[in-house]
Amino acid sequence: MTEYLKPVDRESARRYLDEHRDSAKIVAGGQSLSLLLRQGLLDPDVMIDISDVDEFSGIETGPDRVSIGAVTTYEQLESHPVSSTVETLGDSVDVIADRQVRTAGTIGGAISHADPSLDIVPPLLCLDATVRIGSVDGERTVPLEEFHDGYMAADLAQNELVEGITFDGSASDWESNYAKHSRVSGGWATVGIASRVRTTDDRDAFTDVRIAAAAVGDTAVRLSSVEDALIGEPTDRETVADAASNATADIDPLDDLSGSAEYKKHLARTLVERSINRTVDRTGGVR
Amino acid sequence: MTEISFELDGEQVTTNVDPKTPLREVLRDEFGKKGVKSSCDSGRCGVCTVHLDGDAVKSCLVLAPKADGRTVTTIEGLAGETDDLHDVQQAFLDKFATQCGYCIPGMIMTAVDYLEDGEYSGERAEIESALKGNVCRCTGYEKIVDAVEEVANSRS
Repeated sequence: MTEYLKPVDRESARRYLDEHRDSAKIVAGGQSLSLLLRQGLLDPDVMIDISDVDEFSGIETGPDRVSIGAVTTYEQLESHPVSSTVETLGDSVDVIADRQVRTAGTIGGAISHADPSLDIVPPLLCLDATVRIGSVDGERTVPLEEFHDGYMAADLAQNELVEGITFDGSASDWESNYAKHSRVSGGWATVGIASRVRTTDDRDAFTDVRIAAAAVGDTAVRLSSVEDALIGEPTDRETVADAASNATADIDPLDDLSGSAEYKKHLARTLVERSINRTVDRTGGVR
Repeated sequence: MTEISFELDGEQVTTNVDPKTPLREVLRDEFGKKGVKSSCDSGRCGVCTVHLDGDAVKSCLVLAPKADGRTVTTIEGLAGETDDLHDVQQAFLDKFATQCGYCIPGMIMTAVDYLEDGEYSGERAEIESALKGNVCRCTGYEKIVDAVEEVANSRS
């Protein structure tokens, strides 16, 4: 019979996981985990519920860093000012599942789950976010882009857990967006695209561009071919459309129930164009 | 087995569960709360929605130990001790929002969470968005939104 442990501080969470490293599963909001348990894909001997660990909860904003604790819920992120200042985050949370799931689902749980369709990951990739990972040996950090290293796979040892995520949220001259297509409102993304840009003061040209995509392969990815095609280039619609056609160079979608690979490639080009244009509009638009 | 104690519709209860069990099964099978419906078993349909410390959650996606030390309210406890219906239940009756009725407990629990969660505009698009995690296979959405809209307007 499975044992259920509920540590109340970081040290005991790390210690429990270390003691039961061969047989334990970390529980955060449980919104994805409960399905894996039901389907028999997981049958842990020990479940370690970290949702009462204060050190893993809430959002801290410093002068240049935003730090989100692993058990912070989507609802908490949605109602935090950072969802307005970093618009791609707000856009993303707004289209994740529904209010019931957002009440319980957590940022750390999502990142650990490592599903390539998660909406929260592309915005965080555009923010160059860093994952904070804990164990009895202390803390290490790894860029989110490297953390997901295969289909539903993450760079975590058996005795390690995700404790939070950190990014630079200070740069107010960036604008951003998240654009998604799904079969039903709140459903899993067929394709999701985050964009984050900075332009010259006169808004005529891109100076920095970050584009990332969900549901286009084994992991969410940055679309460097599109980014490279835009840096230094004009912000007009035609230039954006040309650059968006490069999106297929960085993705390798699968045929599945949500659509064919060919359809998803088409969708990726369309959503890249749409997301960048919306972001440009937020800068004040093309003059 | 893991012992859990929580307040269920105003009553303090205790039971032992396999921690992998979803809360919905405990509510229905252990405590007879058949007002908590069961359908998709995968978090899509919303018929099993209950309140955990006042917030709507899908009880098929909540592991039973998560209820320990907390308050669970089902459709059966929504109106409290009184014989009257909760005003959202009454509005669903008044607006003929119930067809086959199977989705209604979940719809009402989500609607109450929306209406009691601080600020709301009461606009139809906002109500539709709030209820998007609840599916009605009779497709009776217009009347359902009418009912929630009426309560939103009467309370503001």
